[in-house]
Amino acid sequence: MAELHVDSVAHSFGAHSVLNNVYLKCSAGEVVGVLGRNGSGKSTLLKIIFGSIKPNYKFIRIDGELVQKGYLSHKIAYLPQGYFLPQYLSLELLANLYVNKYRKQLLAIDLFREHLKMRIGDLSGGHRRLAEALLMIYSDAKYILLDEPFAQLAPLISEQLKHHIRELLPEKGFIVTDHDYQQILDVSSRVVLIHNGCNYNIGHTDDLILHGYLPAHFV
Amino acid sequence: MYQKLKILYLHHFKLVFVLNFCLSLFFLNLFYLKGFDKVNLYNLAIGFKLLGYATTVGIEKLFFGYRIFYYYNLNIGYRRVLGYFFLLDAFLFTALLIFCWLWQNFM
Repeated sequence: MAELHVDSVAHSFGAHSVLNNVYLKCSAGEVVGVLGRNGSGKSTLLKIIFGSIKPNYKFIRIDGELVQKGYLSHKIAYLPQGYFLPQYLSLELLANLYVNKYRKQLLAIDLFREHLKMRIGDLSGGHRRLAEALLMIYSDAKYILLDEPFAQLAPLISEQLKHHIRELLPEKGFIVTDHDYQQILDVSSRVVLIHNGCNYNIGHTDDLILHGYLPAHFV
Repeated sequence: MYQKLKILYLHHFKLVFVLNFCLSLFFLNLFYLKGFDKVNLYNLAIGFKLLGYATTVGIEKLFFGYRIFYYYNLNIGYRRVLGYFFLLDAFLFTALLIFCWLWQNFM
C-alpha cells in the first residue's frame, strides 16, 4: 500500500518513557499535523521515522516495504528544528544536491531565482529557514517530515510555505509539527495529538482542550 | 550518489584529505629512500595510515551533530561517507606506491 505506516513506536530517555505505542500513517495527498506539549515527543517521533534515533521498538513500513532507517529508503526527507545546512554552500549547489525532479519549479520560486548564487548563510534567518524547508519540500522524497517549520517565520512567509506544501500535496505526504497550532490546523488534513506518550486523533479544537493541550478559555 | 559524494568531499573533506595525503607522501618518500623490500616499513605505513583514519573519524565526529541531517537528507550515512573516503585514500596510496616502485626499478 502506498503510505507511510508507523506503528508500535516506543522510546524512552533513561527511565523516562517518551513514546509508548504510538501509531501514525500518512499517504500522498495528506498533511498530518502533529501537536503536543513541549517534551511530548513530537520531534523524537519524527527522528525515529527518519532513522536518526534508534527507539526501543518501532515498526515502519514505507509503501509496503519494511524500513529500518528511513533516510536510507530515499523516500523520506526531514527538516529539523534548527538550521542544518552548512552556511557556506550556495543555494544553487544545494538545489543541485537535493532536488532533481522538481528543480525547475524550485528555481522558479523568487527566493531561489533572486539569490541563486548567494550562500545560504548570507540570507536572513527567516529566508534561510524558508530555503531549507523548500529544499526538503521539493526534494525527491515522497514523504516530508517538517519539524516546526513555521518557527522564526513572519506571517507572510508562513503563508508562502503553506502554499508550497499545498502545491506538492497531490504527489507527496507531509507530517508537520509546530507549536503554532493555528498554522497546523490550517494546513493539515488530519491532526494528531501526542500526549502522555500516546497519540490521539483530533477532530475539533475542543478535543485539544479535552486533552489539556489548550486551556479552556482559548476558544 | 557518486555525484553527491564528490560534492561532499570537495566541500567538507579538503583538510582531512590533505592530512592523509601528506602522510602518504611522507611514507612514499621513506620507501623511495630506504627501498621497497623493508617489511617493517610496510607495517609502520599501515599503522600510521590507520592512525590517520582514526584522526579523520575524530575530526568528523566534531561536526557530527551539525552535519547529521545534511548527510542523512542526501540518503547517505556517515559510514558510507567515511568508508568511500578511506577506500579512495588507500587506493591512491597503493597506486602511488606501485608507481614509485616502477619508477625506481625501470626508469
